[in-house]
Amino acid sequence: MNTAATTTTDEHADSHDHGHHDSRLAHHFDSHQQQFDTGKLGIWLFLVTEILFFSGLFGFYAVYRSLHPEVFLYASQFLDTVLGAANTVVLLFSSLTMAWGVRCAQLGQTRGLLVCLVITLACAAIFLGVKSFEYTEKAHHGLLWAGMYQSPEHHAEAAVPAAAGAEATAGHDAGDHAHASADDHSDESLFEKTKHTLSYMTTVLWAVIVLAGIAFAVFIKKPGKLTQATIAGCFLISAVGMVLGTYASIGYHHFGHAEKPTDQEILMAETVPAEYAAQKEKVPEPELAGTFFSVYFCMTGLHAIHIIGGMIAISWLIVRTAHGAFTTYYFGAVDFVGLYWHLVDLIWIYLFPLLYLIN
Amino acid sequence: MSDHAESGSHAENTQSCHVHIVPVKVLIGVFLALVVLTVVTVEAAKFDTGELDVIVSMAIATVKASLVVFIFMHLWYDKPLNKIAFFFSIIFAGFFLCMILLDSHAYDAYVKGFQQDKTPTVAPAAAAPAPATAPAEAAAAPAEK
Amino acid sequence: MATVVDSSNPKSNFPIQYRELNYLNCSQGWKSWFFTLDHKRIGIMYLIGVTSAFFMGGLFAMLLRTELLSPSRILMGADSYNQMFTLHGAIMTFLVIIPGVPAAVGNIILPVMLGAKDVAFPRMNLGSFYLWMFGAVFFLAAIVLGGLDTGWTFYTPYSITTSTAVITALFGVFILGFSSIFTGLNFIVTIHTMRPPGMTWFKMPLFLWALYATALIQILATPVLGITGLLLIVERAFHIGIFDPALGGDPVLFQHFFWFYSHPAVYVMILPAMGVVSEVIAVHSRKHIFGYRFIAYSSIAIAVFGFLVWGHHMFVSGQSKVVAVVFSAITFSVSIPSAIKVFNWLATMYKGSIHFTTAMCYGLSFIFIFTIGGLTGLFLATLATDVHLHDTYFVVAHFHYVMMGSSLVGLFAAVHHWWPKISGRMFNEFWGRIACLGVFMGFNLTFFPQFLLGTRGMPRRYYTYLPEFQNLHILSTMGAYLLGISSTLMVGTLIYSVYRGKKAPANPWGGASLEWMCSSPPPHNNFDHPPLAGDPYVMESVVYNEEIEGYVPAECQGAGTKSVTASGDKEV
Repeated sequence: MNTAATTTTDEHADSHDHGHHDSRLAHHFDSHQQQFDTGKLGIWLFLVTEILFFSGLFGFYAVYRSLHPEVFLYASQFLDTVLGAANTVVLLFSSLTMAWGVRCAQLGQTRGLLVCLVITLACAAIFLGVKSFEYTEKAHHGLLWAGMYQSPEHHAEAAVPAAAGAEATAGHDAGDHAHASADDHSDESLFEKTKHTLSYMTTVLWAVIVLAGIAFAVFIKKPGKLTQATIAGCFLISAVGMVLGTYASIGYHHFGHAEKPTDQEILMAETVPAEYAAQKEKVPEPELAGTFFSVYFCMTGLHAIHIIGGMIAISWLIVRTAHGAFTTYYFGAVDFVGLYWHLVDLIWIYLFPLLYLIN
Repeated sequence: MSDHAESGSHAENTQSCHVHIVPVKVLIGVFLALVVLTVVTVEAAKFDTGELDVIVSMAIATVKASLVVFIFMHLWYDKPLNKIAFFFSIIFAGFFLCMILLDSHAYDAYVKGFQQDKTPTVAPAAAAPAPATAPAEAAAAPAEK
Repeated sequence: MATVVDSSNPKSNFPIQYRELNYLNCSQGWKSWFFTLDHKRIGIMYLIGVTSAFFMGGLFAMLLRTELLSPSRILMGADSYNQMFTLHGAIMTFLVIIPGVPAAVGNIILPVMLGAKDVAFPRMNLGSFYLWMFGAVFFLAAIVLGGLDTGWTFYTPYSITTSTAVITALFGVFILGFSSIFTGLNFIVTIHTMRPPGMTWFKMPLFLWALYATALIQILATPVLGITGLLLIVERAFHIGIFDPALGGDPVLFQHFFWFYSHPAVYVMILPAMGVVSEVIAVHSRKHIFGYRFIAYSSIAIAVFGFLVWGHHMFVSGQSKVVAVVFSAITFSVSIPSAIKVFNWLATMYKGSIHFTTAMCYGLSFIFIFTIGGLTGLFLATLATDVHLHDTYFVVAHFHYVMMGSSLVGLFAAVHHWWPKISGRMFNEFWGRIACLGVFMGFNLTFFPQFLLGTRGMPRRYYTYLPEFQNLHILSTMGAYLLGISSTLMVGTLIYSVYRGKKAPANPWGGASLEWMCSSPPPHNNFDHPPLAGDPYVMESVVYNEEIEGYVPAECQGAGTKSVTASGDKEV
């Protein structure tokens, strides 16, 4: 903890006058080792702030779970464990490729680094795709945060008579969510909605990437063709990944519960989650069930924002890698983004059991 | 030192940063372990062990997290200062959680009292038909039938 | 880098080469300022920003005090009054005191004191300044978009139901929080990795220890404020039911979240000022600081204790009794490191050769005011007394004694102490001291009556009051006017010196820490070679040189040059 980091000064004291030739070394550092150590300490401290940032949400979770355990027991049944677990594995895999990418960077293997980064970016996009399906499904069933939450019991009851021919459901704006107009298109409306959400999320991602690109262009005077091509490539990978993730989860949703459902079951599946519809004995809905979804959306939402931030950082790395910016003695940026990415993974490792696996 | 940058043979001595490089086998091994643990935690959640549930799933999550932190994030081989920073933040966040947990039970009764007094009068989001509280919903449901 | 060494000049036996180029004139044009990565220029921009915000917050304070001259309406109605005190509090806290010493003065001085060329992450440093600007813009936007009337604490459930621009202001707080985090992160990393050879942890100037402790708080506590603000924004926008009791939320949880940051933030405000005073007292008493290690450790101790006491803001909020007792006890223990500092400063001055320069005058004011502010804190930490004093003017007076009287006076001391280094000019000592006297008198006149008001039961934040309180209110308002005039005089004196001031020598006060080793103002890169750092408080290592009207290192003093020793009676 002492002066270890500054001892390099003496070794390089003689090279000060010509030290500025190296564009990879900032003028206020004496050596690459010092620059790397400085950055590393910086990123670890940044991770410390991230942990404390999330600690507020974990505190929120802990307080409400300890005060209202029944809410968490009841509401977590609406989360799809399989999708959550799949997402966990996707994120873990992206962590693997990121760590592998760091290794490639340390060894100076540019091609390997590029491949690893691209896979990581794609995994992140797949994660977001699955997430966008999950969000749409929740919104579709009225399972939103406390202020917008609609109890599944009444959500279903409001919708079933409507399909049976009853004129209107007494001005209940649940109709927005549950326009159960066509029997056999039941899952299609969910599909349509998911596509909408997907396009929203893609637009957001696109906008953010464009903004980041503009900021990037400010630093680079002439963005060459290579830069533009790699930025476009990153966007393409992100978009394809997200679509892939979404369609995979829609597919799972379709075939996961395809055992010749009755009309009543379809209606129920349309308006309430299948898990709920399948229950023989319904657990009575506790008060404040919406609080769980507040927690769910806050935690996963903030996590998703971090994923998007990570995707931008990884795209930036891809662009720089394509330009051959990283060498065996200058790979700090890869390492630092990697650390950030692992932290995002780390938070998900805790979120998954806390939200999806409550029994 | 930039003189050495061009001559590759000397680059190792002056330009390289001394860092630990994790072998590929270890990386893949860690990943497989993480996947296995994910499966284990999903399966474990299916058994109803009551109070133990949270502890088991958190313990597994912590094992997974340690694997990521120590191997993927190289913390095992990192400087002591970075280790201290990381663990201090965890302890610190834990302390924060403990304090608010300890306290929130003390005044929960007051909050509940407020809630029962005022539920219908405070109108939340315009889009919400009613605050998601059972009495309001229960009153609305029979009317529709 | 034109280096001018003139052998016929007495400066030639001055070891640091005398340069004509410095950081202020090495490049020109607005771009060279707005896109600069130089920590000193960023610090100057911070200083200008903080000063503007200070006058804006001060203006609100003057209006408030004018309104309180009488229990009836003078200038504004009750609603405008609510908005006025909220904006005064929010601007002064988030825009002035928190960035004041660390971001403005710290940015300029820290790397020079370390003998480094810049902070560890110069881009992040500039980014943090622009975040500060954005945050300030959001605050201004909040004024335009319906004001803000929650008090700077944004307590729920009122902040959820009020119709004012809470969301805008919270965004401002969120952004300012990140600005503060980045500054803190930069400082910690810089202090860890960029110290020059020879500067071990216990040879660091105490200002750096204080900034280090501050930065620890900034990176550990500020994220929690960020998430709290974000959650409150989401609560207002979407009604997630976390803080809103109508949806099953927990309003007291907000107070926990808020004070978990905001109490440590109080130490973000006071710790750097304490560091400044440690420097100022030692240098202007021409004596080695007394109890160096104790002061250094007490900074860290204050930072650590600062995290464990947030509950003392919530003694009457329905907090559990056990927690309240624990928080009360820990709050008392904060007074130990604070008292250690005060006694060490006093011991430093004992038998020193005290030069009553403006900076020293502010330093002495700090000790006086901080002692009162600290001791009255103990009344509020006592559970039973707090029930009586909670939410009265006693609290207002207490935290103004600590936040305004100590933190801001510390900032004033810092600015005067390092002004020759920052601007390269000497300010007029006479007017500086007059302004200091005015600030000291005005401050005490404003806030001492408020202690009396508080103990007699005058609640804080009230628009009107009982007639028997009027005399004290008038006294307080008069003090506020004096304070306003004096601070304007202070800023005027400093600005005047930029244009008409005498050129400052490298070391006008005789400090032994590294920032006095480079020219005033420093060149763009501060030091070409990392200087060798010794003990920063051996005042005998520099002696006064009449020809350059400043101090030079003892070994460089020419044999024939008339000089006085460091502890001699020569007034600067």
